[in-house]
Amino acid sequence: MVAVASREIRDGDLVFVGMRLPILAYAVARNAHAPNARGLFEVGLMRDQPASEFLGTMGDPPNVTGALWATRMSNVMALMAQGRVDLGFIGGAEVDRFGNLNTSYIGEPSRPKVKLPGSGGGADIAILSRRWVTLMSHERRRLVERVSFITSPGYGDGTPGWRKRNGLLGGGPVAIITTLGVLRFSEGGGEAHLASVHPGHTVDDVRANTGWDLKVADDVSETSAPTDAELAASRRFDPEGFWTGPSAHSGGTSP
Amino acid sequence: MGGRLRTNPNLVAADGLVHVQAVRPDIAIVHVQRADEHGRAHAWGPLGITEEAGLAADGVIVSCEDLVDSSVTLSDPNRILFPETKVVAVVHEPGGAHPSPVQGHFKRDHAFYRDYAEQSRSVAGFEAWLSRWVFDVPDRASYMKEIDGEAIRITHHQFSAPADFGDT
Repeated sequence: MVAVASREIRDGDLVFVGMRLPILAYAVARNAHAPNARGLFEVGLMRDQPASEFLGTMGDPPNVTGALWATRMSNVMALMAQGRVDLGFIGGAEVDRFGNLNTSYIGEPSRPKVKLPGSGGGADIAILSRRWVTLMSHERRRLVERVSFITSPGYGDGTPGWRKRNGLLGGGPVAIITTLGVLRFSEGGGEAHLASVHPGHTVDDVRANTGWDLKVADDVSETSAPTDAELAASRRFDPEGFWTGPSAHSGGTSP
Repeated sequence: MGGRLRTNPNLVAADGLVHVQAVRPDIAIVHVQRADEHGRAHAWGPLGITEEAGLAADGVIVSCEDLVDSSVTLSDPNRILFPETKVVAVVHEPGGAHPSPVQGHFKRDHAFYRDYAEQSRSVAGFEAWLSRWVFDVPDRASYMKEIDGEAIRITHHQFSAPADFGDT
């Protein structure tokens, strides 16, 4: 999942790097195919080198040493509001077919079964970054027909122009990367379709674990396995498997 | 629209603009690398909302790693976070941010956070944690003796270049 996420980062991108897996994806991309990508951290940092040590949070001292810019949160968010951020990553508890994300409540928002951490920088990224990607564990309870609450808007009700009509400046989600495959959105948004399936899984697996009738691309393929360079970078920056191991703290939102 | 969100049709060129009611804390508590007895606080690293918190609050309590002479803080007035007139107390409390890090002083205590996450999964575990680390600890100095100091020790120092604030 980290390697696949890292491939969404293009060389030269300014990437809004949330916590958890996106930090690793940035580290992998920077070492593999995007040496000129810069990372922006909402706590108030810009970097062009992954930190030299494991990070538990984005404000850890190794992430500050060698920074290109250390500032306050509002300056970083303002860059995004100006449309200067190319790509953002957002985790979530629930996502629907139109890419809307929920990190707020499970159940009826006025009487929730579960209260989640809330937006963090998620809604800002979803509204303002030029494009964004969701990372999520692929389960029926997470990929749902309808999210309980829209914390971070994707393409709303899926009708053409929904984002523009609602004044959302950024382009919207381009992919939902899960533990089973990659769902993509066509140019202009709308509904997600299955673009590739990770090695060891099938289209039927993915559809069976999705809470709506998932469309499948005509040219659906197998996701390329992580390269040696991608795996080496991932292991270097997460030596204990804290973010990527079997009991990794996946999902959730930043920070 | 409820809560703290408002629209204001009278704002010029503010078509559809929604604004959020200001947060006005009575007190902001911040922990910084160094401060003087007049409340001039220096902090560096990612500032997050440190400045905004202090500027929005009616009063600021500054806790610091190093209590320094005002010649140190005034040597770099750009680094002072808030007007000294807002600061109501300065507390010299090394380690005051633990288990979070302080740039140049100590690292984040990852194991301490993981332990908290484990223990706080149950009410009994959370209460045991509170007793162990909050209620049964007489003061911060005792607390600092209990933690794994080696795990958070800064191994490599890297100082910034001085800035010239002359003339006269």
